[in-house]
Amino acid sequence: MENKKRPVFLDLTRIDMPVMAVLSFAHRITGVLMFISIPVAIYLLGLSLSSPQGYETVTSLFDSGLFRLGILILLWCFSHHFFAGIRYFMLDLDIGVDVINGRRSAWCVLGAGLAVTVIGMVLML
Amino acid sequence: MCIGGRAGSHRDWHGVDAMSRKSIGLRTWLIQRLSAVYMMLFVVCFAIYFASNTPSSFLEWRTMMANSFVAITTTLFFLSLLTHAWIGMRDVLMDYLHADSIRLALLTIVGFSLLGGAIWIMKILLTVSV
Repeated sequence: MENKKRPVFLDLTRIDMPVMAVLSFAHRITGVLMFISIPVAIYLLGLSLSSPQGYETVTSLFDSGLFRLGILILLWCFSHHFFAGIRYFMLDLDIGVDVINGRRSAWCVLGAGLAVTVIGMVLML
Repeated sequence: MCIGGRAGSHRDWHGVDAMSRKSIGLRTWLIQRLSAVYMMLFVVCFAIYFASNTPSSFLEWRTMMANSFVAITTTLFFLSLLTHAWIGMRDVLMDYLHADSIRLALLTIVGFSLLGGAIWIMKILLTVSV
């Protein structure tokens, strides 16, 4: 039987989390956010292909600041998930498994995801 | 009982049948990576294709997506995405939800939603014609 009285320390604000842990958590959050946006994406894709009016509706959405913000957040989700995925592929191939390289690649993933998002932001302005 | 963990027979109880459980985990792991590779390749190729032939009207957009190759590879992308999302969401839900009833309810909702999404996107992309 599992010991229900065993001490558990899970105060996330007080645990010193290494950057790899932040990355792992961000991988989950970005994945769940993209999962939630799948029906919206399918709906808008279908609408844009359904009729000239639908196409106009979808393209005019880009005039809205709120929609652009949503696109930027999703762009960050996607690019972060993408680069973190490449990092996991490399770990699967035993590349950069040690702490120093693991930490280094984790920072690279965070940076690359943000860089793509900034490029997207500049292109949208 | 382990909902979502694919407990087949009573031999699975407490990991007695550890080998088959491990191989199921390995299969899931492989599907997650194969779908990721396909999506990465598709997104990069599609982005380059889209950037070099950016449609400027409804007709051009529809003509692009009516191309069989584009329609089928895009459908495959969405099927990979939905499969990838199923494995990811299943892992997340199983990590954080421990009550069997809630776990089963949410896994069912997520699973049926993703199946619905698969049918929806196939209906859209495979019926586009100019």
